[in-house]
Amino acid sequence: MKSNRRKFLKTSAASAASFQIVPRHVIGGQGHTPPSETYGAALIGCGGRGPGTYEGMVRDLPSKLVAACDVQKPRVDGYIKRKNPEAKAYNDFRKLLENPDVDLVAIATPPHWHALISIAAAEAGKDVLCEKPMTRFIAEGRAVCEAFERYKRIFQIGTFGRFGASRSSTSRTIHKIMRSGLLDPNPGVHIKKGGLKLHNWSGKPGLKPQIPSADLDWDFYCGPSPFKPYVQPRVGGTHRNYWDYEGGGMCDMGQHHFDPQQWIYGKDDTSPVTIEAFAPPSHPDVTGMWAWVELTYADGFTIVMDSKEWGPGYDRKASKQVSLSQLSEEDQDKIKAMPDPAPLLTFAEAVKQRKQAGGHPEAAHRAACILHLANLAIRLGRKLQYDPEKEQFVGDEEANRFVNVPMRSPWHL
Amino acid sequence: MDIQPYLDPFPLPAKRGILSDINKEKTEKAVQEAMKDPEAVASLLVKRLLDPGAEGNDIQARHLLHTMAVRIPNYDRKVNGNKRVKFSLVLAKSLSGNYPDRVKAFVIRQLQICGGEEVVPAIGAFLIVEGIADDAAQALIAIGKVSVEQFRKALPEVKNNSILYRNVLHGLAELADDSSKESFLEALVNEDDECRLLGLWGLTQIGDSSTLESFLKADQKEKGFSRIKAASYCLKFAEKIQKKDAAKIYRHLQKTRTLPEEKYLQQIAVSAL
Repeated sequence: MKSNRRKFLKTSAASAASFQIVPRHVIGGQGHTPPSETYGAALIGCGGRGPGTYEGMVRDLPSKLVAACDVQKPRVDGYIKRKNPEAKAYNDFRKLLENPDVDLVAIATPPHWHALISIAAAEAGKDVLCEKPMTRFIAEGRAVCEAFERYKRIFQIGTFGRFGASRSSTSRTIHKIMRSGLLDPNPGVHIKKGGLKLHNWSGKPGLKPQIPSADLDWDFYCGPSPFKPYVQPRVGGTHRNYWDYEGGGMCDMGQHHFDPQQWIYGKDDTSPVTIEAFAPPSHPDVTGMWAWVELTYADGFTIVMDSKEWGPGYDRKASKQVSLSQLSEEDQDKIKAMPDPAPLLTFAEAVKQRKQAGGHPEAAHRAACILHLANLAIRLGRKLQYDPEKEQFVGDEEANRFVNVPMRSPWHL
Repeated sequence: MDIQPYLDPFPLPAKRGILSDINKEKTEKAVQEAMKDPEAVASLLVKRLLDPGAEGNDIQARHLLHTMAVRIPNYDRKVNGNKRVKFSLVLAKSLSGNYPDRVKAFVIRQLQICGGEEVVPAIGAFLIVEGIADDAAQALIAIGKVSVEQFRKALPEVKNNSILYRNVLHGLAELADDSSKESFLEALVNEDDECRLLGLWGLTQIGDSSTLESFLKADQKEKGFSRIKAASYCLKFAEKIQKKDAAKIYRHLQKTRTLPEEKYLQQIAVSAL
């Protein structure tokens, strides 16, 4: 907190009785950053990653926790008690978003809520840092992009590997080669070996229904997803094991790995066009085993997930780095003459400057799409053709039913 | 027909309760065999499904039935026949059987993946059944516009049940049903916040300028989060209609969103005008 801000508070009649956060819109108006201010910050989803996501959001921003929300009352109460007992506690994120003291929202609920809460926050004029994976299905990501464009709010996904990648000269060179379009067809093959936690985040089918604890609003927890009988693993970190809420280790770990790779390989604005998996039949409720998934972009660039936890290893293509040596001397000179990509803005910088953050909605959405496409190839058991412009599968109406999954009333995109 | 040989290759929970002992070759072979007579297999599989609280397990039956539902379109395309339609009709027929609600909900979820126009009436019948109506609505929405008549038909029957009413209104809005304009307008004066918002959303979805006056009048009455959501419908509505009508919406936002914390809406409205 800066001294000017303190002075303001001291002279404010409203602050005479006790310290309070003066909302940003009172000082400078939303969308206008005064030279010194304290941001009213909030956390939605106080369990698991919640506190860490909140700290990631407010790093380098003068801020104070003014509100927190969780469908489990003891969790939100406990968090507020530890962080700021004066902050307001909510069990319904919609009530929190009504609070004009809130400028920034960290979202760390299970992923089936990420898109809806992100969109609602933008509609309420808030900036958002949302835990990964960004979404549960493809159409959610597009809706988030549209909302943040419409409201000119700041969004950053809760994974930051691309910032480091963008500072590496090797990565910047690859990025420029890829963006130049000079390498066509593109021979690059990026293989992610292991690290996608298949066994950790595989579900247990056939559990007998239980009665949820009295402090859990189970209906609200299910929200836009199908209402199913409660079993304990559906709540907490093991929510990842259910298609209703996330997408296994693929979605849990995938955005960490593929978000920076997507920046390096210049694919922030597109998606693969063919997707093929080697996997056994997938269970309807819970995530399970798969061996590998191969995703190819329109220019020929290929990414592969090789699970290393089940089935045969991937052996169709060898890993191949993109490099200047694959270009003619003339084209190499063109790349060397290209300016470096603009530095990526952190969430704090983006909020202060009212400019797009490094992990902006379109980039985060496209990274999440890699995971959703891979999971759909696993689940559907067939090779898929995808149109990255229309964001639809080609010639496969039934596959498209997984692109925009209807939500439970009253929720919708 | 004995379907047990098709089920046996599908795994039961192994160590830690997960399905890690699955064999691709054996399960794929079982699916191929089952697909030789998908209607008969589906009919017998449904009989193996259990209420989630019941004794025994149906893990393998659910796994195989789901695999058939996601893969049958592919088989259908390959043979250029109507395997998918026949398979879906068998599942739809089971919905009139004496099965527990959660079994029917599971079958409906499979039809959400593979069903088409042929199963719409069978699913539509559940729009008036509490506890299963939301499964039915989502399946119908996934199947698409051909389902809209089911929602229209159900609407008068669910008016006195707010949960079912919201569910049906939601379906009509999601499918952007032009002919439900009056139903959306009627919802604008409902006492329930969610119903009013669904009314506003329905009108936004159909984007008919003739409803603008009622839409804006209703928007003005909303408070709290509903006021925020209503403003979002205003902006989406404006994006769908002609400039001169859209200008009415932006001017309306300018006039009504005057609280300090609504400055961002003022800015959007001003820049759009």
